[in-house]
Amino acid sequence: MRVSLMAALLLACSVAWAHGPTRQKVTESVTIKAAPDAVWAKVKDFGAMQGWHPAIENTAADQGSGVGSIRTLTLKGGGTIVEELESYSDADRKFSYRMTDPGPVPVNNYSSTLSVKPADGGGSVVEWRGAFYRKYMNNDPPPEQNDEAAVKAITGIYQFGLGNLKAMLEKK
Amino acid sequence: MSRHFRLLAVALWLVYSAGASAAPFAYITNQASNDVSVIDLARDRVIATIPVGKSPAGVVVSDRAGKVFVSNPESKSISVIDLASNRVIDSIDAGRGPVGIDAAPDGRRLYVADWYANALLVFDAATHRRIGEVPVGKAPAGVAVAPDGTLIYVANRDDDSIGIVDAAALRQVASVEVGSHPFALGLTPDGAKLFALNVLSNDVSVIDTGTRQVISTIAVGKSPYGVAFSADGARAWVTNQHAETVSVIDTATLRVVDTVAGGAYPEGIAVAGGRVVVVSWMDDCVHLLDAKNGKRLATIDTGRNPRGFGRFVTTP
Repeated sequence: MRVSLMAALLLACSVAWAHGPTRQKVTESVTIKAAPDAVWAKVKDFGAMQGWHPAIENTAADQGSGVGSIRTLTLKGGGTIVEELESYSDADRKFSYRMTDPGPVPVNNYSSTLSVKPADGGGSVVEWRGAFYRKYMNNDPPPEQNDEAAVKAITGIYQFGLGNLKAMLEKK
Repeated sequence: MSRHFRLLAVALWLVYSAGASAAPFAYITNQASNDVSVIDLARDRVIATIPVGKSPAGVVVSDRAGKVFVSNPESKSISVIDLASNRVIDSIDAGRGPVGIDAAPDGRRLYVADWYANALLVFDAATHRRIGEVPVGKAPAGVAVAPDGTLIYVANRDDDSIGIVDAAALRQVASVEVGSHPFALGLTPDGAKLFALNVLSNDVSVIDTGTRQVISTIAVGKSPYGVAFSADGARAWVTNQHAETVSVIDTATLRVVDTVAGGAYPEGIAVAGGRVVVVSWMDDCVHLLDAKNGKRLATIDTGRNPRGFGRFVTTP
């Protein structure tokens, strides 16, 4: 009896702990020897992420690059991620989106902005930044679902994508 | 006059002039560097960085108590900073997950939302002893005390409602339904209107505190996270975290009269004289905006992942 009451209490607590952990952030950027418009042209299509990110097998977006568009990313290693476009500016060469289903990525409440700006002295700077919580929303997370695991996963995704984008655009 | 004496005189003068200065100071909680940046808003620079508990988020400056109280959700404590010396003078055990925090206007009591315990914790602001624990709704976040100190408002985020707690009886006496996921709260200086910021419905529920009815729901930008009022109460400023803007609201007509750039992931906000202090969580800084037109006047670096969730500026 006592045990089941405690179990019920623990369950109630775990539901209430939905906002417990601390929000994390990652910013990665890369300088590319190409004009901002050329770089933007590669990344601007919300419905075609496989065109520049090597981890993405396929993208299916229901409204292209219109605000509110939902895209499903199919990963090369298996699994899918669902994301919604929150804002989009061709003039500023930037867009923001959030994950509605993180799939295998160990995060929660992830939102992100990708932007292309002119670099000082020519070329472009692509900045990709994200804000998110770890996957495990209660106290005492297992190592693969803690803050460090979330930061590591997002950093890896950003570096992999930006590195490939640079290589594609600077290839002679 | 000996050299030592002259140095002492200069030091005393500096201490005196700092203490007597009319310049407001901002106390910004930095959640990733576990400290508080103290910004002198007359000189626009950080004059102290004070280590506190783990993941500090909530903050309230109580000029009457002569203290700043900071909630540390991960160390489950409140750090107490002495306003005169800018030193931590105490750490108070504070339940399971202290978040929102406010002090009574007379500086005698401190109220803390305990996110995990669904409770409002009540402390004596002088002795730091716990006076009570009031059961409230689910996942309480923002806290605001009425100007006369008789009522405390709590944003019960996961109930989509605002709890009203009687300060004398120490119990929640009413609950008002608002939008989706209210997190931050703000009272107009006269206490007549309560602004509840609904993070998921991207709007502000305005409650008439006399009738306890929602009299308006104002659409703002994506993910409203912080609110502050001009000293005369005519304007409210609301940070929109995902829109990266600040909505300027006329508190008489309850309409958005302007939307200005807010920096990256704006969170906490305060009005200091003719300027608005906006905390940028993503860029580790605060931006100072001109209260007249929203133009950015200055940027000051803080610690990492600054929040400034609460009333973080001293009153001159």
